[in-house]
Amino acid sequence: MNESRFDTLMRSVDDGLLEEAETPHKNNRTWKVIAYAAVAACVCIAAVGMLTHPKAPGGVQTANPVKEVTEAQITELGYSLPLPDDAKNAAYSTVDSGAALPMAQVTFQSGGQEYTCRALKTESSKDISGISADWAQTLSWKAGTLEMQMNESNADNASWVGWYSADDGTQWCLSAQSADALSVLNTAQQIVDTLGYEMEVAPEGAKDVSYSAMLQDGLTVAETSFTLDGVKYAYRTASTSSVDENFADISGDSEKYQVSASTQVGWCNARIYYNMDGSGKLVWFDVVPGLLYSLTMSDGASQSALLDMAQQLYTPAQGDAG
Amino acid sequence: MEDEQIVELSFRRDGTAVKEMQDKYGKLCMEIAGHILPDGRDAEECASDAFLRAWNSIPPEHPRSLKAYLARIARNLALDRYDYNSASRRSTALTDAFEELEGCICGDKDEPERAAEAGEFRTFLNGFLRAQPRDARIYFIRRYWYGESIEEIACSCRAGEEKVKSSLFRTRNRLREAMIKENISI
Repeated sequence: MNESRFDTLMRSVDDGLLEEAETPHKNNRTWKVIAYAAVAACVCIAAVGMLTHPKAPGGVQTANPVKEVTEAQITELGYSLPLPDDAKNAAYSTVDSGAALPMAQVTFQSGGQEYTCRALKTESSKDISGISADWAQTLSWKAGTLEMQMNESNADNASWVGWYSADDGTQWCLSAQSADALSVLNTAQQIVDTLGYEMEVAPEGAKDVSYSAMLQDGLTVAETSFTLDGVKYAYRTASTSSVDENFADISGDSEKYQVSASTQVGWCNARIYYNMDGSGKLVWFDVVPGLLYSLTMSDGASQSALLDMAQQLYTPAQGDAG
Repeated sequence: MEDEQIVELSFRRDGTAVKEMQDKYGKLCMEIAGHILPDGRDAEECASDAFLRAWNSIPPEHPRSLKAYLARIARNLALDRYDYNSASRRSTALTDAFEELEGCICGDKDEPERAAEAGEFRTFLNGFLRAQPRDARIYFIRRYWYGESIEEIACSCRAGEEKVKSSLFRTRNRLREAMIKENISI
């Protein structure tokens, strides 16, 4: 029997179900009395454990790790916590989490939703959300120079989006009591833009720009969609460890096209598909960083139209050296 | 004391938070660890460590369910200790439960593939369990998550042992059928 598979099976059980299983009897006084007696007995055992355990902290009051501060004080610490344009009721604080520099935090309301945004100076990407939940979806991917994370829990009605900048050595996290992680991602996108990073890629003049991430065929796919001159585009990237020449198509588009051909985007092998003057797609693979790309367009597709747009959007992860 | 108050104490770095956690959930953590580890001293150490882990992780963690949070920590610590001790290959309540569920666990998937499907599987499993009758669901989780014996479940749920046994049998079969229907394997 493979015990790790057994653990995979049972690790997935929601907190709510665990709690329910722990309380099989509802509103039964007799059983409550027994339960209280058990807890009372446990108190004795636990108290002995507390006294004998060398690492146990004593009943000493220490400083509250959460301190209310002003935005200016956050800035003095070297943090930047910009807010979306419509944000209101912002309250800033710092959280002492044992690191040399405390974590910066701001709570605010935007679009009728309450958010918490945190920032922490750290040497590597980490979860600073402070939320313990059964995550139904856990994604991580690269967007430009940022390492992105997105977690969503329907069971606990929570989600958070994190982004880490190795250049700045800072991890940010935006969380909300909402199971709609994409909505949190859209709000995070505004903050990321204000911070001066590029998460989404769209050409000048593009409208209806939106950014999303999803799990597809085991890959985390990040997508920027936008409209330009009445044509809808979707530009996707995904990281892969595969080096197969017959690389995966991450476009999510299963349409059968009239024209298909092999081509190149920069030094990358590419495949192009389109209907004459209709929709089309271009998929390519940059094998050096292991990044898959796709570009779809809703109308006016041709080899040159797809390749021109790809050239505008595609910035090699390794620079121009190849 | 309410869970939220205990979490609040921990956020204030008031050491009584640990005592409150132990008072409230000491027995639970001991039982969970005890079902995995045959040696009572190992189980006791895991339970104690669970409270210290919780103390060290809150803040920044802010668990929505302190009970489930502690239970998970205790279980994970006990499973780690079990792996460490596994050279002795002693049978425990939970290893017996492993065997019962073997029929539901099939396939030959590698780690990345299974990791990719973990989110989908979580949704499936919790949906399946919520669709089961309450008693059947509780028996199943107490047996396969908490590692309780049939006798313990029968006692704590005030049901006959045969009823628990047949309920578990039927739930396992339904799980297997549902996994086949949904083409899910782990």
